Amino acid sequence: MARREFETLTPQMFYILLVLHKPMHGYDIMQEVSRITNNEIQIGAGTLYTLLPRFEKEYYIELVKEENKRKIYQLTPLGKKKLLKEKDRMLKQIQLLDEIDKDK
Amino acid sequence: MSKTKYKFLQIKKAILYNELETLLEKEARNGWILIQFTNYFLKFKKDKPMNIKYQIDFSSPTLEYKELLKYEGYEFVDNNEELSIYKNHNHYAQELQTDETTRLLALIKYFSLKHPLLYIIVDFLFFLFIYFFKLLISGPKTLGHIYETLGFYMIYFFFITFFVCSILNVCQNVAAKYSLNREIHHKEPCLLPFTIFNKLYDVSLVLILIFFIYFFITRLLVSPFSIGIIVLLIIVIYLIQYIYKKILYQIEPGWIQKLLKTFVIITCIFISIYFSNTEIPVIMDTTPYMSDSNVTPEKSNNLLIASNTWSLSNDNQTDTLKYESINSCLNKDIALEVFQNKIIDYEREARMFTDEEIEKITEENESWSLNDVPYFSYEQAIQHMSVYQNSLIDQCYYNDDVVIALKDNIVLICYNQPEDNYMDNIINHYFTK
Repeated sequence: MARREFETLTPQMFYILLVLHKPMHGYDIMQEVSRITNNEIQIGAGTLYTLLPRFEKEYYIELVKEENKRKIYQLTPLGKKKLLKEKDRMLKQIQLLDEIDKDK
Repeated sequence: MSKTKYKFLQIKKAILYNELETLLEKEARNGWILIQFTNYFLKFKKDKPMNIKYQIDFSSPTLEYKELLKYEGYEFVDNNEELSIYKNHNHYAQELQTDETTRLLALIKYFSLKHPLLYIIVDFLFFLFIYFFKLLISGPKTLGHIYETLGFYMIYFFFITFFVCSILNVCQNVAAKYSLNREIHHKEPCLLPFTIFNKLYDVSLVLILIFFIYFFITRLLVSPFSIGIIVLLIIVIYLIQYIYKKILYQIEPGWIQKLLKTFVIITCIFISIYFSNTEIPVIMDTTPYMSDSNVTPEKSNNLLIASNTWSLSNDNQTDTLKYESINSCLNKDIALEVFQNKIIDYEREARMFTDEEIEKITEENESWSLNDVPYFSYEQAIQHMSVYQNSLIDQCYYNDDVVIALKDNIVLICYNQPEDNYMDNIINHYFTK
């Protein structure tokens, strides 16, 4: 099951990985996702802290340092690859949608 | 003093059915605020009716996480292992779980197989312990034998029930995982298998409870002192549970937590083994017929039979020289079964080979086992014993070694005491009021 957990990323998973292109701790991640999505995506604390250790276990993110008992994470090359794979999946979906539009 | 109330609730079931938060919020609106919970009970404190938002969570409560929740207005209520409950007085506060897939993944982890499998291993280790210490009993397969050794059968009953209970716990967790996995793959949840295993699990827990009630009552009948030991044991187990389920989950996770957990589990096993093998000495208030300062008294009670026994062994404590046992049974029927069982048992004892004979058989056949001397039926057994009649008793059979007498619900067994007028003396001693 663990290997298949992140076969497809949900929007929340996607944005958490996306904002971690620069080092960030938990609270900053939540704020940053709200900011870049104009509050359309809100990450609950429980969701974030369930996902961070799982992403770390899958080597999508890594612990960079600990400051004042706050863990700071950053995206790994594997995490970036995962995001690009997600991009391909989304592009394919858009392409299919475009084809339907053309037919009309 | 503020009023409190307890509510019975199966937490696992309520979580799987997504009913826990709704129930807690409803209770808060009626003025009952949750203060503690276990796997089966919720404890509420009476307060003014409030509109509280409750959230369940499975994340490790690190300092960073706790600070973040505090910032969002959440207060920690209580935890039970990895399950924590938080409350927020702002009903419109951000949900802790905002992603359904992540919530389901956390739930799948909560229905872990690790703990139930650990219980199965512990149960197996206890069974091995009992086996190696030769507490397993052998004897004729009669009703009287079961009555006499009810305590041992109850221990078997406990081990078997505990084993079945752990297996059902595994099954219900597997069923929960199956249903949650279906939900992750956007299929309808399948809760029926979980519900069935959950009900069976409850039945097995009730059976275990029956064992503990039995154990408590029998100990109470033997000696009130032993109740002190049981209470002490309950306090120790409660403290261990408290440390294991509450405190350990409230400190920073890491190797210290893992080390402490291992320590607690090992301590728990050793304390349980120690107490399960504890025999409490009981001072007797009845005098035996035989008069010897080295007689060892013993008292036992298994709810069906209360026994006073006295035995006299040789200096090395290897052979019983003399033995007396007066058994007071719950009713005449049980007494008759016990009486017949004793006759079957001691008649076989009389046919048992001597050490020299065993050596000879071993030399000839290369092997010998106790099963080579079979048990006779009661009717066959009494043919090999003599009848003794006395107006004080209902029935009595004897041979060179043993006297077995029955009077109403009393069974008397006296072993190895050859002397003149012995039969009359001992019957008079025990049955003349």
